[in-house]
Amino acid sequence: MRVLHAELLKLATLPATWIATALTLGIPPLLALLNGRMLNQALTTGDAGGMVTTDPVDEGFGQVTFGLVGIAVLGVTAISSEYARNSRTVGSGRQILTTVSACPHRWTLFTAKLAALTCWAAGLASLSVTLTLVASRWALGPWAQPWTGTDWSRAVNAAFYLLAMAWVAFGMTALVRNGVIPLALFITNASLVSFSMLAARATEWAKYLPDLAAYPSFLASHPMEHPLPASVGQAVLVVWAVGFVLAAAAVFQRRDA
Amino acid sequence: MGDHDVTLASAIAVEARKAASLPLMWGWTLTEVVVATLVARALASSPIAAGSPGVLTQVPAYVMVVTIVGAVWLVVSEYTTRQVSRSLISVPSRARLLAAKAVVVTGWAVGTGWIALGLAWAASNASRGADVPPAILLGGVYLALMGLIAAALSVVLRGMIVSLTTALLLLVVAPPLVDALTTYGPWLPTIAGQRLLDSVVPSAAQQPAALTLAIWVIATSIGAATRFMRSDA
Repeated sequence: MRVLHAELLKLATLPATWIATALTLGIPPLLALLNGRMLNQALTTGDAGGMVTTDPVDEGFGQVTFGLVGIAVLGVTAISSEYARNSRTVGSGRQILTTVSACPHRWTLFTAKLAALTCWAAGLASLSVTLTLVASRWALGPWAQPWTGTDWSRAVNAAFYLLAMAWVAFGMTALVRNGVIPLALFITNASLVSFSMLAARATEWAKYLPDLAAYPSFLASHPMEHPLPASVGQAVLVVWAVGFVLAAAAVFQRRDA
Repeated sequence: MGDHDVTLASAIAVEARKAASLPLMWGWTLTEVVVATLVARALASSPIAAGSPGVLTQVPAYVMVVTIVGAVWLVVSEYTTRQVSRSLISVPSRARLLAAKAVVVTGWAVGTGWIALGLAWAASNASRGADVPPAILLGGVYLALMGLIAAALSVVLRGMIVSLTTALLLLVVAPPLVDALTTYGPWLPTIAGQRLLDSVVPSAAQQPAALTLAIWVIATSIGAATRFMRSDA
């Protein structure tokens, strides 16, 4: 518990953690507001304008995917900050050396680090999904779909998607010990020029990528013609997350700091 | 060595040699070429973008990510390794050092962009039209401008995570969203650049896009110059 407390404190003192928090809580609700207002206007006037679809079923849930920008920053920062060099005034060392000196048991340290990330990311994901759906329903006004039991499970799945992607980002960063590649990959994948979407245009195998696999669990429409069933997609996402975390744990245990 | 002894040309030469000695810069160059080729193959198999130069106008949107990473890396590695202190001892004129860095970033981005887009075109099996060479040339220039904006932001922000996140948000994530949801899209650098890429034949309609792009490059460069000249290294 003391190691977890220390790791949570460390995470909370990183400026990038607060940038990640602001991005996760800011981007999806803002997009949901803008898109909801456009959709509301389109449905009221009957003029779709340049909108791709006027079906409000995915409104709010679709914007949750952009929360990946902040979640990726959080997952990457949680571990890459350990390997970044400090300023020369404090010896150009790396935080990881101090960390393993303070807590020599690597499994405990890794578990505490993962638990700290999980606590932060789970809270952030839940809050982001809630804010996004509330903003979306408020902007849609009378056009918002009635809230059903299915929507509860979609909301939980959307929050879990963000949490699992934080684990994937964390695991990938721990493997390469550098935040640049995972950060570029995940932020780009959260955009409209996503590499996953591009892969989906070229091969059916793209549906096994973590983001495309998870979409059917909370989105009614999917960019691929034959996506995985929702439950299988969730399982694939879990396999990706657990795979990366286990590989990262093994490497963290065996490699020199 | 006095300030007057270091000319801009020699500063550029030193910066170029420094960049070439960074193994990761070769890694980013290779990555850009590979990404361009793979993206072109993927786009060519899709009916939406098939044909020439259709593929070439879409490849830069993906390749730009690697250009941004490379440009940010070139600048921020100076600060993470504290190389900047030694650089300033060698070239005490801050304006000259920054100009040299900008020239190297631009040269790397445009050169790598041309090679990557050339290979992308070859990989797409598109027909060879008269509009292919201008599309490759324009694509390279577009990538260089995006790299320059990312580098300028990095000079201002100095940290790897914050610079990369800001540059990717501004140049990759936000523009298509802002363009789809508001009327302000054309004022963002990527959308303005994409408008220029859409037609290789210069027209009066492209002037506002060119002007917007120029304003972004100038504004971020002024920000970078101010920060570099006034802040401690």
